[in-house]
Amino acid sequence: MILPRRLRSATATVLAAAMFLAAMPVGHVRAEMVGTDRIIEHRNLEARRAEISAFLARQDVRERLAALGVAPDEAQIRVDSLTDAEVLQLAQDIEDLPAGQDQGYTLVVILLLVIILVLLI
Amino acid sequence: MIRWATAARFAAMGLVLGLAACAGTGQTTQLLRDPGPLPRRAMVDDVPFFAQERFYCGPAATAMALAWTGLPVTQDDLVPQVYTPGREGTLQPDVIAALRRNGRLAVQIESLPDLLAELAAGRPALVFQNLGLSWVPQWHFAIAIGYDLHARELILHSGTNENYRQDLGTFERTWERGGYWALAVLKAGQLPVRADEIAVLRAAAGLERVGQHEAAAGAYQAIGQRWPNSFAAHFGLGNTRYTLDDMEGAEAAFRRAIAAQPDAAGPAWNNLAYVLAALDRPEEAVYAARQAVASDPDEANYRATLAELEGRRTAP
Repeated sequence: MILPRRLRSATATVLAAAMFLAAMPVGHVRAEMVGTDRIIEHRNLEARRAEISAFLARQDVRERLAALGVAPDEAQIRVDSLTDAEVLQLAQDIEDLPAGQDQGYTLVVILLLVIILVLLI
Repeated sequence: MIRWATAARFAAMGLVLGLAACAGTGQTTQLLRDPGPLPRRAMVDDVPFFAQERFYCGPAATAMALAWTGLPVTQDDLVPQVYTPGREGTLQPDVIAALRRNGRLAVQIESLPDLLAELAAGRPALVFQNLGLSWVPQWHFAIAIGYDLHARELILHSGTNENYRQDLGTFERTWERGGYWALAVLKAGQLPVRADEIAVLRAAAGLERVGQHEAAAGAYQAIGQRWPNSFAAHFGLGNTRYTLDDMEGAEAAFRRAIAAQPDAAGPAWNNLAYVLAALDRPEEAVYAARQAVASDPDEANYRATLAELEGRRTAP
């Protein structure tokens, strides 16, 4: 079945949310160390919501990196290496994010074209 | 007909002028007028140069930065880590992630004076430029290795050009079109000359995230020295020391965090409780957990910590 990317991504998001909620302990709070991330990035009430959206964003970004030809294992490592804030930013639009390539001569070519145009007219 | 040709010619000339003037060079002008404490010229001599292969400015620039910090890496080593085939290029977050994975602190630099300050301190910086136009972009990573204010130049290892000299105003324009994005790439324990506390804390937390705990500890320690009142720096050091199984170091760090911010020290008391329990000091551990609960009675995690440690104390 072929779905448009947006829809596919939405489906993945819902599935991932279901899996995440299923994995969360219900009605029981674990006694645990507080992570440094939480001190720097989020505070109390916002923390859980931000964690869930970052969790979903990780799934999404990993799939999209793999779709762009990155080896699946490598895509997983790349996504795991980003903080929540970074992964949320990347998830917003990986396809529109600038990708560094070459020095290139775009500007020179455009200027030449414009000059040729001016001379021809 | 003639009128149409004239109009077209004017339009084309306007386009050329527009291209030349579409971005400002305010920071360059300001720096040339008054460089402040910056030396007039600076050069980092020992940055290795790797000429990029097609589309590989990302791997090449990342490899140069890492090699400068003493890691034996090449452009090819970095291709799987930062190159994205479907985009025929490298995305910025992947560069940050790769630097982290290799145990280096990557801190964003966002102004030209801050960039030059890094170079003056003898450290190169990874820069992101748009060498095309805002509407026909040509994105590019390079390594800034020096500058010369007299000559109005920035010196870069860029693409296939070693020690490439670019007009500082031109650089500023291309850098502005790339979103003023540059990275200081630092060994554990070093911090950028000018950086705000949150930016370096985020960078250190990134190292912790990828499991580079030694490097993260070095970064948190340096941040705590520069900003002695930074709760998060001491707290992060405590967490990394705990992970590295250095309980004495963790205890000292959490106590510094509590001293830095006694009114909102709940997280540090909570984590200190676990450290004290690991040090086999159950009474003190329960005391610390009680302090955490007292700081924020609504926090369920603190109450759970207290219950668990009280349970452990009474257990045989």
